[in-house]
Amino acid sequence: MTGRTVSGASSTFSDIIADPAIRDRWEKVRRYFFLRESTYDMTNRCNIRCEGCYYFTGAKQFASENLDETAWQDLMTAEKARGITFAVLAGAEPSLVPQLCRICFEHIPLGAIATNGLKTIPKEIDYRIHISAWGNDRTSKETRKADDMLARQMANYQDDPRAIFVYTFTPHNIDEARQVTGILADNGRQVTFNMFSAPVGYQGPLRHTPDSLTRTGKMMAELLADYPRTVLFSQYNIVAHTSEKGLHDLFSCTYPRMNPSTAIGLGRSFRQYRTDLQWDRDAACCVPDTDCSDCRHYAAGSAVVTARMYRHATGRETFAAWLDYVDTYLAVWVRGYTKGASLLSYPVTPPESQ
Amino acid sequence: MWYSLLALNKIADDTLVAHVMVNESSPWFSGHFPDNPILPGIAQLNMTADVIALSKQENLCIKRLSRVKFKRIVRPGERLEIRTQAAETPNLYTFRITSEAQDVCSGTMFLAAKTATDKSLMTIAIDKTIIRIAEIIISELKLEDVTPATLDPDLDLVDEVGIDSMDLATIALVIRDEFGIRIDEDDYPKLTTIRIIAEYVDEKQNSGE
Repeated sequence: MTGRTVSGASSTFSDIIADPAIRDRWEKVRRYFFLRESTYDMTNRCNIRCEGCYYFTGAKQFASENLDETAWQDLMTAEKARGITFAVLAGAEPSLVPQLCRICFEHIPLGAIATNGLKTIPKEIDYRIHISAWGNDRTSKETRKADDMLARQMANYQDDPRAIFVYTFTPHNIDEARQVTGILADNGRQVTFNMFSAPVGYQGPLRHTPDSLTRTGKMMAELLADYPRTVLFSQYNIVAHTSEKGLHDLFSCTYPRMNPSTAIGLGRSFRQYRTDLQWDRDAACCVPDTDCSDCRHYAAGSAVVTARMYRHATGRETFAAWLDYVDTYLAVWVRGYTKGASLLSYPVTPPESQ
Repeated sequence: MWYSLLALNKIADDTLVAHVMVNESSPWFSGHFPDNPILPGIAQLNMTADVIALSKQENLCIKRLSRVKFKRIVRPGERLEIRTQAAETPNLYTFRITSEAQDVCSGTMFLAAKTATDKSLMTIAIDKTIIRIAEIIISELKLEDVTPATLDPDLDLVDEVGIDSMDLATIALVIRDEFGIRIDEDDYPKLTTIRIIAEYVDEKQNSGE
């Protein structure tokens, strides 16, 4: 999807935030600037095996598990001490080690867990729960080798305000997104969108093409319009995640893997711990072993786009687009944060670096 | 003289104690503030530097301040005790001003010989760029217990104040507006102290960018 190109005339920041709607949203989101994330692989096991799974690519899948709760307590204490305020628990399947998830929550009370949703995570672990959906049940059966996934996921997280579904678009499940979103809407659930991003070296059928990106953007826009209370997304999310350019080419990725600077921001604080509690700066990003040129991953965008506030503050429209993106990001990732109405109802083109 | 030096005693090799009284007729009070006279913080610092210079019989001026805290206002006619202690580093002093045993002001100051080209204390005080940037930072970050005059311009904003990239981007945007300069996206992460920001602003303004 391409966006409306905004005129080149720059506005001052004070002019931009003089707009009451923009100022209110700015004041709302800036209260969360304290969030500093790191991610943690919790176990090297999973109860299903999905085609194209980013975890079972590269070296991290071979890291030995560390199930020593004292070691995890020590790690979380150290993480908190160095300023980490948001924990993302992922790989391979965190629900298999709830005792470790609980330790993370007890030390760092804000966070999110990426899960396939087939095993319920105890309610006292009050993180946002991201439940992955890769199509309807027929497609899930083919891609993930699991039966009745959506029904089982919804049953496991019935009336659970922690839960949000994350629908990953591949070139082959674009049309199914309407059916899945309808089911989720009928059951009072929320969904956000992810893009399959190829692991390094992957040339299989799930890699997006220019045509599939266009069709995905169109479907996202339709669902956003048709299910505004169910879909947590914005027009600018669509632009950022379905452009032919990946996130790195659009916004210059700020994760250590692509950003050598350790002066400030993600390059300074972000770490991606493997299950042996080790981390490697050269591989540190939220989706290690993803091909950076094909990365449109929702988690990557949540950091990469939000970090680029400065370049978006050139005019009312680009800044409003950025605010819509950040508002969406916070609603998807932070428990208790409610997304407001989008400021823009149309897409705009991402600005160049200033 | 806008204050009276009542006593100055060296009670140890490294420690001075002075007693001063701020004259009610001091010109500070006419403008700071009308109908609500308060001795400015900068005047308190000036008195402290004066007593050290006097005891050493040297012509000294303040070169740098750090960790300065103002805890109580000073009214006309108050009698103050100024206590200073030399640190191991030459010309570095910690100081504390009290009034009736209550803390008024404390901090650390670095003094140096005044030369013909040195800025005077008053010039430092009104270094508009540094002060304005400090005001912006205090306002944007909602810092408490610090004023533009006491925020050390050499503090590392990331390591010592604890700000992150989004805060720094916000500060860069406000400074861009305030001074009418262009700040490149690649530049703002390098603007990590108030002094570095002020020098960057001056350079941009001088080059017309």
